[in-house]
Amino acid sequence: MKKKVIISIIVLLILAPSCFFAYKHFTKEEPKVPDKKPQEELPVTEDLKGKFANSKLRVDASLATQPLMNAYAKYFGDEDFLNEVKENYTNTHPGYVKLINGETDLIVVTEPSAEELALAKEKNVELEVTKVVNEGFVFYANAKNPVDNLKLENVIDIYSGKINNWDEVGGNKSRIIPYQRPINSGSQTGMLSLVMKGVPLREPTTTELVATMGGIIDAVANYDNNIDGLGYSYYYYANIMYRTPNIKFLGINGVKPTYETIENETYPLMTAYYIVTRKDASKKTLEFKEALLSNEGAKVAREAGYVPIKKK
Amino acid sequence: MSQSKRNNIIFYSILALVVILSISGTAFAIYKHKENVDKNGVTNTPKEDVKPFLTFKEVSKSDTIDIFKKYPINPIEINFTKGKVKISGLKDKEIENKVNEKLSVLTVEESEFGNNCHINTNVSNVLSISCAIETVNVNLKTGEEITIEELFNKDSDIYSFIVKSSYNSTCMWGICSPEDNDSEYDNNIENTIAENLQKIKNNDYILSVNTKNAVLTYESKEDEFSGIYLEYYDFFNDITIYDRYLDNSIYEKDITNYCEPNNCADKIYELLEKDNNGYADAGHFINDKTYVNFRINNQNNIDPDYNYISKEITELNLKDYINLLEKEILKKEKLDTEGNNYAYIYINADIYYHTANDYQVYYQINKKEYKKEDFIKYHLGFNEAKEINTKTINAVNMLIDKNKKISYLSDNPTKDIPNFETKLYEYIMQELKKAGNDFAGYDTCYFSEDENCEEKRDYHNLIKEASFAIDKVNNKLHMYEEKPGMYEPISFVSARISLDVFNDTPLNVIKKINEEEALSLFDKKGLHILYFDSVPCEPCRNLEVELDSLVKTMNINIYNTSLNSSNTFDKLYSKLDIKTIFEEKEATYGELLKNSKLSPTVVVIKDGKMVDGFIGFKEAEDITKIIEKYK
Repeated sequence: MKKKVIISIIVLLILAPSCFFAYKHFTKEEPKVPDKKPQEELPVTEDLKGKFANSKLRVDASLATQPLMNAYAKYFGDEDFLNEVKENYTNTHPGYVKLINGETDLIVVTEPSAEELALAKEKNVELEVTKVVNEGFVFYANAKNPVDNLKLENVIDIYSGKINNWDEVGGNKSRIIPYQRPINSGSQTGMLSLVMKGVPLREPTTTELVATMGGIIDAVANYDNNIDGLGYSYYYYANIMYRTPNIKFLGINGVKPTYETIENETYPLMTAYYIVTRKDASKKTLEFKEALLSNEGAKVAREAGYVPIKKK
Repeated sequence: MSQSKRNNIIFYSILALVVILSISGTAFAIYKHKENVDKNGVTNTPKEDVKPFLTFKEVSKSDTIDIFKKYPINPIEINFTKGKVKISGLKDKEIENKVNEKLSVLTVEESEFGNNCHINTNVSNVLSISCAIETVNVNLKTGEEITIEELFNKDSDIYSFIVKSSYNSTCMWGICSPEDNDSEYDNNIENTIAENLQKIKNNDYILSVNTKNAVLTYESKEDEFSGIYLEYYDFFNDITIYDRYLDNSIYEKDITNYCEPNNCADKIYELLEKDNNGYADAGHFINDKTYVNFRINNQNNIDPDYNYISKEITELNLKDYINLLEKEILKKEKLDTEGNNYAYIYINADIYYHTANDYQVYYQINKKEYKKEDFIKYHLGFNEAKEINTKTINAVNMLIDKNKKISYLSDNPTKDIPNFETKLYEYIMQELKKAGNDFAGYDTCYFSEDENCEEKRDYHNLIKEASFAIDKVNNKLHMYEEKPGMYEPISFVSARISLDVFNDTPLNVIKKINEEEALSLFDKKGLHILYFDSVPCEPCRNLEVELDSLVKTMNINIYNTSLNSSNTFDKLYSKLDIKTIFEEKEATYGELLKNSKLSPTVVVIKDGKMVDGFIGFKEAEDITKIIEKYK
């Protein structure tokens, strides 16, 4: 009997710590990346401010880049230039057409489509396409939702109707309410081209089809005591309109959308906006383009809520 | 097998089981942990230095707006003279100068309509004045300008409020419909809101602090302005502007006037305007949960049939009448509210002469009930607050005499009228054939999708549903029915019907009538005598004596209408188409009356047509001979 007791004690003394240390070893968190020092801002001069006020430059923008172009026009031009610019906005495609036909000098838009490139070729026009700001496509949920991160394939499965409950992705036992935007809206187009990529979106219920941003805020931010909403938008809009204590942005594949991850393009759902000119653009146009790409331009873009590309 | 061996097997089996279970358990725990990390782990992300797009200064804690509380209207003088705005009445002259210096940016421009300035708020030591686009908002306690943060409270989510208000203001005119498939709107809404936020970030807006909202005005295009409306009803648990600066000690004069947040705007102007037209809009709480708004309507209506007493009543101190009537109506109608509900009671009254000594009161009550939160929002101006119940009452039988004693006409004043329903129904059917009649609004088919809606209307139901009252002065029956709808009534009938409609037997007196009634004689069967008189007209008075005797002996209807009235009688004259010779000229009676207003003129009408007549005095005997021809 005594022998058995001793054996039992020995086994326990070996087993318990072994299990404990084994657990600790295999569940050790990966070493954290040391916090980056905040990027030291180079002092930015105001040499270019107002320089293009009387330039009579003609510009255009996409709907999504209008606020950016407004900020550029106000800073590098003046109020009159800004008013002139606002009067003449069309949109992405008409902007490209005008540029190709020589009816406008510089546009800040999304990447040219195959159709637009073909049109340029047809008219023997060479386009210069230069990235100016990065843009991310973000997903957000109620701040109280225990889920912080989604794999991209989870997102696709949720929005195609394969995954329906939060506990399938590590959350509570409740149904996901995946809010959608109207067809042809900017955010919906982004959802289709950047995320779903051919996988059909599930048919939204009336509740899930939230037309406008105001509705989404109320829906996702728990104003109705419901923390199961999931929404999406471009980082620019999300950054300036959805930063409330009740809403958080979700990580995708482990990376949260922040200024830095969008700037350094580690965030997985990326797009960008471009300055597009004709190769035979005027000197003034090229100077304007340089101004937008300068440190001053980057500061203007940042103040306006965008993420300018990182200068190498 | 020996016992000892068996024991050993059991022991070592248990031991082995424990070891296996421990190892399995540990492995399972490790697996589960990894699974969770896999799903939730956010790794390799540098810590974001989140700098919000907009920042707001922290403010001290303050009480929040209480719609049940009376707040003091600032007892200051505000002068708009020599192109500038100036105030006076603060004890501390240094602060007063400071305020006036801030107000000096405003430029007052005079025109025939007054000046271009507006007092947005003058309550709770908050003063906000706008002249054209320029606005100054100050607190009279320190003389400092009021900032957005001070509208709210210490922990308020001001950012969200502004975003939400920006969206609401952009979509105010219903352009942001979920059914709208136009992507332009969707993208434009976000861009508009982005622009709004940018303006706020650049301090590129004008704040205006009003009594039920605050507005951020900014230039959206050249010389075009837009506003973000921060409605207090959207944030009533966070609005501190009414309580933040409360301090009654800063004024030279005592505070004598108060208001509640829902009516401060009106009260401020009521005090400023000297020519108060006298009818009182006495909205107030009658208890913790009920708000009553009583209004007497008939101020400027002109109706040739009735003498409105509004002028007389303002001279008699309208406010006394209102208080008395309100009390009586609330007592009679028993409008208690159930349980925890709150109620809004609107009472609209019209007052008419009933007899020379008393007035008849029509009133319509509209009672809406709400839960507390919705009541607060409604009270602060949110018209779409969710109602729980509504109730409508119409009453026409209250009388009040010149000594302010209240009595009631019979609840069923038509019960003594023989064959009332049948005769009324016939009358309605006749009237419906005429354009612009009083009964076409019954169960209006405007909102109905039923093609046969109009045919299905049952006017017997109207008679059952309507309220009635007898108007002795004008010999009329008042009839009233209403079913309220969302924006306008789905049924509305208000008619005044001559009591003659219900008479088969002739009157024994000469009946005074107006043009409309005179015209209706041409729609009736039988024999009717109509005579026109004027004042002064001695022959008319003499003729009246003769006719008076005939009306009793001949058992006929004789009607009188006065050429002194404001009626033109054109339609009537066209019916008087019998020709006659007067002063060697031939003309119809109608033409003679129109051109020369000859009185007395008597016309005989039989079965809807004029058959005979005469001008001037005649004795009873001669008149009888004329009438006998047609009897």
